[in-house]
Amino acid sequence: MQAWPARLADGRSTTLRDVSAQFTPGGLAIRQQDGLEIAVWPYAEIHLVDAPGKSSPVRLKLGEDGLERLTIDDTDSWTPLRDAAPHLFRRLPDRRGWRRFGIVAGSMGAVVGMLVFGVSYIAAIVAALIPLGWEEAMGRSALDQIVPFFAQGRSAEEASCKSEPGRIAVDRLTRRLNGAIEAPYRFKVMVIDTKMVNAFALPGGYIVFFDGLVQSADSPDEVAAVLAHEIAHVVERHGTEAMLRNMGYDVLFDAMSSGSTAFDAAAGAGELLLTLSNGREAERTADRLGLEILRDAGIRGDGMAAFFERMAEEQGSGLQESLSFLSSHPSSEERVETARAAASPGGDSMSEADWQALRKICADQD
Amino acid sequence: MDATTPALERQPAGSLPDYDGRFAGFGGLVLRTTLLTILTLGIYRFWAKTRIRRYIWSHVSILGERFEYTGLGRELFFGFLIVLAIFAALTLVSNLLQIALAGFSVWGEFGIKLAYFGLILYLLPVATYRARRYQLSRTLWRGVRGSQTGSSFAYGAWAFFLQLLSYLTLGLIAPFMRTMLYRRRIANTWLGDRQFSFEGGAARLYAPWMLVFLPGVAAVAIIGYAVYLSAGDIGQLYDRLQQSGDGVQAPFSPDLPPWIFVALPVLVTARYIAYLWYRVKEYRYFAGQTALGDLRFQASLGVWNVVWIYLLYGIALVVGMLVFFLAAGAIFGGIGLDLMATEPGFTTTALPVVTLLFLVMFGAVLRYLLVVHRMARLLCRKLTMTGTEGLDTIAQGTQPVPRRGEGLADMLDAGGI
Repeated sequence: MQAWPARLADGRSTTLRDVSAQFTPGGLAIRQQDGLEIAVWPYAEIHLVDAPGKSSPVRLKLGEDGLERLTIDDTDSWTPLRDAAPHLFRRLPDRRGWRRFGIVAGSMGAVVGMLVFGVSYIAAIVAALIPLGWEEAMGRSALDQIVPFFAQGRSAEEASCKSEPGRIAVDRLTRRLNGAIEAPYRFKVMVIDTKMVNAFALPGGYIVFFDGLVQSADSPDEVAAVLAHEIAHVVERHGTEAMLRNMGYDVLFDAMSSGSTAFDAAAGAGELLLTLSNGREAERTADRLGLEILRDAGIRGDGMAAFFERMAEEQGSGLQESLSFLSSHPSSEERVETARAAASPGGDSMSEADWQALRKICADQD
Repeated sequence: MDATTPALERQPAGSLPDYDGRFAGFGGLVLRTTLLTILTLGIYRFWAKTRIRRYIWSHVSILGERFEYTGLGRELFFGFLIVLAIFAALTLVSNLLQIALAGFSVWGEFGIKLAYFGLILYLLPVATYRARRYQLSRTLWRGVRGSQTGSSFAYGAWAFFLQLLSYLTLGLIAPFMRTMLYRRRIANTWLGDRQFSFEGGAARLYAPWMLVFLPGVAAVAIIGYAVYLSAGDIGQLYDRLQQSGDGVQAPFSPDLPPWIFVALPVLVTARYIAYLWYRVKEYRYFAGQTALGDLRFQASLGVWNVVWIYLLYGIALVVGMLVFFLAAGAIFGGIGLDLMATEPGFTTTALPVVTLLFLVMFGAVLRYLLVVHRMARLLCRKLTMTGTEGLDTIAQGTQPVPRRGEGLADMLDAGGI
């Protein structure tokens, strides 16, 4: 039986002993220079220190956490080792981790999934608990940041259209819709002097219309529908919830993604998709609730469908429609259909005089 | 080391550590693990790091004996989870506080952001200290474990304040700071029951540091001068930005003397080169003053060795990115995707993601292959050890062994291998 020259470290100090190792049937026999047997390591308790390689020495330890080390420099010794202890080569130091890793990855995926749903759930709860004053502060601060972006740098005060008859018309409509619901909010509706066609709601009751939307509307019922939709957003606290949810996602994804920019990128994309999906749900709810508000206020509901029909014509890209899961709004066609189906009959949203005044609300703006 | 060297021969005094990692073997490992890391959205990174370290450690040998890395991926993973929980709580509290103060006090909001930022800055050296402790505790040589004592929080505090002082003095105290911190680290490093020691001071480093400090100060002075000259123009620029909101409409052209545009880049480049040179000098000095009992080190590393490695790395990075962007441009141009879509859509989401993924993988792989691997070989080749007889008599230490590791370092992206 071949005796392989080896070095033994006993795990208590760095002192090395020159020994010889033999692969006996009963175990790895370690003898000192004069032939005296020091130890026999049972094959079942031997572990590899490194992954096996044709050009690396054989390094063995006794026990998974043992500190004794046996090193055989001659790389030919891999062969008798493989013959004597084949089980060593089945659970290689690197491979052992695969199954564990699979379990870990799977459970992590499950945890992430739960956290993502949990964030939505908690955001909704917290949004309902936030005091009105906090919400208004959030909305005000968001307003001060957003308006200059759309209004060539002007603040909300400066860009808000102030023509008195127009403002009265807006207030009248707002009070009428407000009367149809029970909500503690004081709605602060303003029209911003810019040609863009859009409107949005911020936490706490701030609602912003762009003059472009007012100008492009065919009838006041469309404006009333949009206002009802935005009021629904405020009442359902969508903006507040969205901000809290994004905070939650930020905490989750930012914290988890450090150390791997690849994960950053994927997480950012995932976060975006989630945000968009939540946004679409909120839009559908706001559409539905908005129609109810119009109905309870005695206003006909077909303004909403008319508005979306015009939007659909102007957007019109087939590719975008089919990729609607990537958009922040449900497809216009879907909204038109839903709005038509759910519209209730009713009266005019405002007098002709009010409508003309509203169309001129930004006329004297400088 | 030749694998068939008889065990009875010992290294003569004045021996070198040896790194026998192979480019092909190491490269294959790096590629495989990086791919897996990306496929698992980063979760695999703990196991990838562990495998790479195991490779490097087991290919470095001193006196013919290889090192051993006994860390496990799951230790890093659990460390990460714990720190994640803490940070999640911290971020939540910080954000809620910011909301509460929004609109009530702009200073409050700013103050919280500042405090949060300061906390992160403080925790960064804490993280590196703890990561080092973990890695040392997982390093074995001849069965004897390394360790690091000392408080990571105290180290973090020292590092934080010294760093602050260094910025305030435009870097004047930098050698002093670096020496102090190095001493703290190395004097707390053990192999078994034997402690490392550092006998140097910062005085010898000040002369070389001046070559870095002076261009830096000059550059700052020139920038200050340029700002002073264009103070009026900056006021105009600010007004214009406020009005347009879409960006500057007229070109910004302050009246600066042309020599500034030559002097500044020259100074910055000179400083950068001087800094590389200083770091190598500092490394040689520190190595010479570090001891483990009777063991002494001597480093003969040269600046050009290091510069060559980083130069090649930089060039490869740039070339790779160019190739990628050209190829991407050709492919995406062919399909005719609209890259200017303002609505969040497929192109605006997928394109940055794909680009980032590729760049990250490419950058990481390149760094391991062209920098880590080559630096390991270089450092070993240029380090001589004397007094190695004492290495035979180190006993196993009794320091506590941390159970998990590097959660903080991973969270804060503290870098390293």
